[in-house]
Amino acid sequence: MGTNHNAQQRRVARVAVTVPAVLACLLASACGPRQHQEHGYVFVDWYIVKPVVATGMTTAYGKITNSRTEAATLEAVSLDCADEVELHETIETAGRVSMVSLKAVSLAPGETLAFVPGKKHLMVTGLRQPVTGLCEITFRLSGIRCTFEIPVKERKD
Amino acid sequence: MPVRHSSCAVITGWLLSLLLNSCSGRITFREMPLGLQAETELTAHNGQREKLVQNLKRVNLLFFGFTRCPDFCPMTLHRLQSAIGEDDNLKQMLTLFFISVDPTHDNPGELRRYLSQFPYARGFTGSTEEIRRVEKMFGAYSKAENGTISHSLYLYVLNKQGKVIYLIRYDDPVEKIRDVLRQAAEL
Repeated sequence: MGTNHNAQQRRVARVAVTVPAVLACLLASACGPRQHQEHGYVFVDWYIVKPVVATGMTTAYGKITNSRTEAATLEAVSLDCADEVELHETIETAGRVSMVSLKAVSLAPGETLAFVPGKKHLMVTGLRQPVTGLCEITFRLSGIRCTFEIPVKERKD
Repeated sequence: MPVRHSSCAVITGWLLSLLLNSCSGRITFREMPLGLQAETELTAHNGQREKLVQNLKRVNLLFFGFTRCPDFCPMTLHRLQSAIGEDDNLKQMLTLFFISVDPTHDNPGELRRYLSQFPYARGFTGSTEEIRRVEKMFGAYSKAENGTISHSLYLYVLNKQGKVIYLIRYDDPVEKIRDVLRQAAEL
C-alpha cells in the first residue's frame, strides 16, 4: 500500500513538472522570435514587410549571428517569392538620406548583424502578390548556403 | 545698473522657461524662415492642380519622398501612423503633404494608391522644376543617384500659415512624434 502510494506521488510530481515545462516550450515557440540555425549561423526574426501597395517593392529585416570561429562574408540573398534581393543601407548625410547598394557585408566571429528599418536592409523587388504562406529565403555566406522559410507581415517599427 | 538687473532677469527667466519646458515635456515650436508660399501650386493625387496652402489645417506635416522608396519612406509613414494611432480627433486636424521627389514615375494614380492607407495624406507631384522650387522653400534637395533618390530626412511641421515650426526626425521616438502632433494641435 505504502509502495503504491509512493509511486503515485512520484507520478503526480512528474506530471506537475512536465506539463508546465511542455506548455512553457509551446508558448515560447509560439510567441518568441523565429530562429533558424545552420552551418554555425543563427538567423533570428527574419520577415518580409508587407508592401504599402502591391508594387512588389519592399524590404526584409532580421538578424544574423556568426557563431563560427572564423570571419564570414554575406555575399548574396535570394527569395523564392521575389525577382530580386539586394543588400542595401540607408545612410544619412547633411540632412538627407540616401540608399547605397552593398556588394557584401562582413561578419566577424561572434558578431551579430542587424538588418533594421533606416539602416542595413534587404531591398526586395518583384515580390509576387499576394504571397500566401511563407517564402523561402537563401543566404550565401562565404560560399555556404543557408535556406529557411520566413513570413510576410506588417511592419513592426 | 537697473538695465543690467533687468537683462539678468530676462536671461534667467528664459533659462528657467527652457528648463521648465524640457522638464515638462513641452515642445518648443519656433517659426523658421521656411515654408509654403501662397502661390505654390502642384498636381494633387486626384489629378487636380491645387494651391498647397488650401489644404492647410490645424496640424500640418510635409514630407519629401517617393513611392518606390523601399525602406525610409514607408518606415517614416509607419512611425507617423503609430504616433497618431486611433486618435480620430488628431486625424481630422491633420494634413500630411507628401511631395514626390520622383515626379517622372509618381503620377497622381501612383500617389493615390500609395497613400490610400493614410487618409490624412495628400500626395503631390509636378514637373521637376516645380518640385525643385518647393524643395528650395524648405531648404531641401533631392538627387537621383545609383538607381535611387536621396532626399530630405525630415517631417516638417507647419503652422496654419504653412511656415515650418518644428522638424521631426525619422528616428525620433513614436511617443515624441505623438507629443509634437498633439501640442501643435493646441497652438
